[in-house]
Amino acid sequence: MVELSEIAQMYFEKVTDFTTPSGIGVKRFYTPEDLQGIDYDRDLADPGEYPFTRGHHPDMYRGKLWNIREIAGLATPKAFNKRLKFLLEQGQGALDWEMDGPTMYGLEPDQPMAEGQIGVCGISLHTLDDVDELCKGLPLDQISLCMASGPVVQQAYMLVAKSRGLDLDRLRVVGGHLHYYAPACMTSTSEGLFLPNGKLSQLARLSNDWLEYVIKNYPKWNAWFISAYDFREAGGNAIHEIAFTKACAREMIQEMLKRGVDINTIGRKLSPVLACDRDFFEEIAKLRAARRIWSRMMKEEFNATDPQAMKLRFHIDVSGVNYTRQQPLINIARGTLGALAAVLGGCMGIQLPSYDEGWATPTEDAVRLAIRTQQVIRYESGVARVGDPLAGSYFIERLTNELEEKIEAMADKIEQMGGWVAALKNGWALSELRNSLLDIQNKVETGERVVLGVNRFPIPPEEDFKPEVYAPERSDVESYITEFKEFKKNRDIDKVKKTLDKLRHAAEHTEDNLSPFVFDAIETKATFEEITGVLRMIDGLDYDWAGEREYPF
Amino acid sequence: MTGKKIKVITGKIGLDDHYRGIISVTETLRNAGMEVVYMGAGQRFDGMVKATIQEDADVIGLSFLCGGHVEIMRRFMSMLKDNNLDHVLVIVGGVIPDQDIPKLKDLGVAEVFLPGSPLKDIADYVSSNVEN
Repeated sequence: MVELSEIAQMYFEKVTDFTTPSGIGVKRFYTPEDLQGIDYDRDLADPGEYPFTRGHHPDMYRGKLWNIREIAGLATPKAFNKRLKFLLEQGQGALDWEMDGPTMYGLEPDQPMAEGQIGVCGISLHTLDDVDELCKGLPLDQISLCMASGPVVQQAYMLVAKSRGLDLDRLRVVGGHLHYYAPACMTSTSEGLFLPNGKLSQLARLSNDWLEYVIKNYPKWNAWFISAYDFREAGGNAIHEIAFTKACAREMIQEMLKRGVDINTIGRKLSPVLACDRDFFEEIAKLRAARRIWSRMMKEEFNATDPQAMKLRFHIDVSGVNYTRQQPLINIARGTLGALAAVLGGCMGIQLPSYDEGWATPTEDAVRLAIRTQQVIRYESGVARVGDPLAGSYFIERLTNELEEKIEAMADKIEQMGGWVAALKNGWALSELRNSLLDIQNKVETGERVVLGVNRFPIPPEEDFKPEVYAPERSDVESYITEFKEFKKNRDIDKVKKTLDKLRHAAEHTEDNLSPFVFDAIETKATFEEITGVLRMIDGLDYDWAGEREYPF
Repeated sequence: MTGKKIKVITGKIGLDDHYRGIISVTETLRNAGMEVVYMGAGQRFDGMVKATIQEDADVIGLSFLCGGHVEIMRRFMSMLKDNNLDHVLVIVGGVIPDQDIPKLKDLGVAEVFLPGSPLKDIADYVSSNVEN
């Protein structure tokens, strides 16, 4: 609250922070001198032309608007199916499935560690029947679906689509693959990624196998190989975000080249999730720099020849970490700016957090407002008419260059360390994120970084807006667990055992791609946890992460 | 026992990897002169109890974002009791709906810190509520 005696001070208030969050000093204004050294054809070029600084397509949003793809994942397959239909009815053209903790960690829903965590922060999916239930009534051949899951859920999805007689070649899917970035952000997968001897695990192999399978078999599939948004959530800045993305991509591309996949084929498939944080111009410049960096890497380092394989096509997660619990309606304004930056930066899709981010999984009303916010930008603001409208701005071009230079320097540093996996193993990547996070928190504490409602203009809690809070229905969860137990009882155990044995044998004794074996196991009704559990055991890990269950066969 | 440093175990129990908050709290408590063992995210119940015993901790700080905090804390607080660790000050923070705060306190959680809480307040709370 402002004291009346401070009004004069407020009147004369001025900008005092001249540095972007990634540490780039900003001048009072920029001039033609800041464009010196820029060659239009070499460094910018028209949208849709190499090096794609100005966008992936000459028509940009006249050709296709960005996807409204709100992040979603809650409760049980039945309840989540309803939510997905609600989202589609609101004008959201693309879907996203987030998994809950038990699904991510590979726990069965009826084991003690999963208690209270079914369907929170994501959907619980454990069997082919679950995925089938979730897809009921959804036009799978018309939607673009993004799955934030390991390969097994994605494979189950393909089986469901197949059982409906759909042409798998025409399905638009964005699937997460080997989360090489995971140990930096997600402890759950770090145990499953590297073994104590430093080798990649069987689960990591499965992910790589699935990526190879997808690239070779499904033409409309995009491999979402990294969520660089997670680096921001873990505290990183814009430079970390793109440098880490580049380093991670290099590692993944090299793995696929080793497997004999053509560079142009790989390049046409990889699609990261990037972030839009709160510094408006820095985020726009970062997206422009990222496209240039990416295309040069694909062309000059990996010798791609197809321009389609040089374009960085990305989805944006607007940063939910900047949303506050206090005065939550302010978040609508924060989100609007984030989404606007994403559009001005030429993104291909946006997830915009709902205003109740600091309270719980969004209610229908809250997520509808996030969709409407995107629609205001789409249909009312007029900003989508022109591709890369900020190009040529002395400031934006200069900032794009400065970010590019710093990102390349950091990416080179990682390369000198031995690459991305080395930078994860030696702890460097994690400590960079941590130090950056602590710096941010420190600036919030001292007030140097303003957070409205927290360190400026707070209001008493009793005056604050209290959003309605979503929680999964307990009875839904209970009946879901009963159905899961029934599912396990009503299957041909011998058949399940046989397919799991085959998977185990292939993993232990051959170099074969494991994906077909996983398809067979899912079809015979192995649970997703039985599949990942078998692979964990080969690596000498506990059958299940929580150490609560033994391998049943 | 003057001069004995307050010993704190921090981490996240359960299947939730959002660690931004707990890292900030860990560092704040360290800067306030406490000895803090950060266990990481994705911890199992048994691991946290074991660490509390081994380190002879005065305080346990846990963070939640995804939900499940009431169920997890119910089980964890009863495990602490079974291991004669009722004297340990347990504080919780994170994305927790208002209506769950009394439930957590009924279970024996000493205090709940919500997003946006000044870090200094958390450090002050710990130092004034641990008997040394």
